[in-house]
Amino acid sequence: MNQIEGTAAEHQDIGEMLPWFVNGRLSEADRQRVDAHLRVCAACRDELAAQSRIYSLMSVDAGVERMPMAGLNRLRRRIESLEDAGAAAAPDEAARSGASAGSNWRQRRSAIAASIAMTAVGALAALLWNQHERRIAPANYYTVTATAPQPANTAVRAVFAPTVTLSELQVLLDDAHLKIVSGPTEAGVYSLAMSGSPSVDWSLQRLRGNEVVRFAEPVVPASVTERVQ
Amino acid sequence: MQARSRQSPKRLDEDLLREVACGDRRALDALYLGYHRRLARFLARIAPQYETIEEIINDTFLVVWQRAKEFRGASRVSTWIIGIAYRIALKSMRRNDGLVRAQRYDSLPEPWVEPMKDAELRDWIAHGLSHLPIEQRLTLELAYNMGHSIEEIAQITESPVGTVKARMFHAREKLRQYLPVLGGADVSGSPGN
Repeated sequence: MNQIEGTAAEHQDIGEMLPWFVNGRLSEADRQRVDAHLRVCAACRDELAAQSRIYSLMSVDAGVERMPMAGLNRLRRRIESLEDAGAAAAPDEAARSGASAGSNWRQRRSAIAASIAMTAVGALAALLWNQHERRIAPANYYTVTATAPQPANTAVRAVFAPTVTLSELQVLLDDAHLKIVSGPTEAGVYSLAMSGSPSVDWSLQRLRGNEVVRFAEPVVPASVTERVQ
Repeated sequence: MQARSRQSPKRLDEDLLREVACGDRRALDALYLGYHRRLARFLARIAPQYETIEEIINDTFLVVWQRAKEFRGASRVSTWIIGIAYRIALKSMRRNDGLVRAQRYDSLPEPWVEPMKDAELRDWIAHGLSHLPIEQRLTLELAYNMGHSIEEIAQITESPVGTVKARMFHAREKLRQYLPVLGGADVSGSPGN
């Protein structure tokens, strides 16, 4: 390859790599190659400018609200029905039935079906009552940090995305072994108590894994705050 | 659970996938919740309907559940999962391609002579993207929207590196037709200066 052909080939190579120079994903060696070529090639500099502009517009996150729990439940049901039909390649399930580290969805589902129904009614009642109270009573506004009256067994206070459905809420609370005991407040804060949870930290971690949970904090016991004051 | 949070995301994914391969459904939950947002972001760019995105993600994780045992560590877990989503999205788009185009880009923004404002340019880009062949468009999205390297895109799309570069090159050429005001330089010509 003579010099002219070599230069043209290099120009072609560099041109192909420009998009990854723009998104910062070239190896250091390639990045230096591109850098060196850009210093002597106006055409590539122009192209770089154009690609940078496109990149900056395409790399913006639209930030669409996403609630994964409904989809996850659908996935669980699909897998279960496939395995019922014996079609899914569920690996080694029988061999591990005794020592399985994973949860068995079906067992949990039947066991909690009753409590879901009861708690759903309770939560719904709490929601309706709060809304009713707000309409007829003078506005008693509580901020998140103010000491709003809350049931004694409250372990966690949480705020959820406004578009979350009641059944979604129920599933994720169940997953975190928490139950609603009060709320939502004017600020949308729920008071949650433990319901068969090994620890508050455990419940918090499971809660925070969900995108619909905007905010979740443990409640500091009254005795501690008194001591601090 | 505590020990896990100190590991790198890469190690975390590998552990989770290994557990999924052993039939651990809670590990599948964790992977699903961990990848949902990222996959949704990628898919929202090419399959705008909410339901379609959720379906593709769902199908993706069914495959993850069924094929976790086949993962050999040749690529990262992330590229493996995104690759599955990519192929499912491709199939979905091929079925619906004509329909999507007809629905979305009937009216074009007014062409500007002056340097384009971001909003107008975004519209032109969107219009241009919608007319690209699917693989070219997906390559552009994987690079610019998702920030993947050439090698990662090659793994995700199960294509040679040369093909990835070629698709990107052609995508840029075609986009240039829709973006005359950018004054795209002719890269295929002789080196300038």
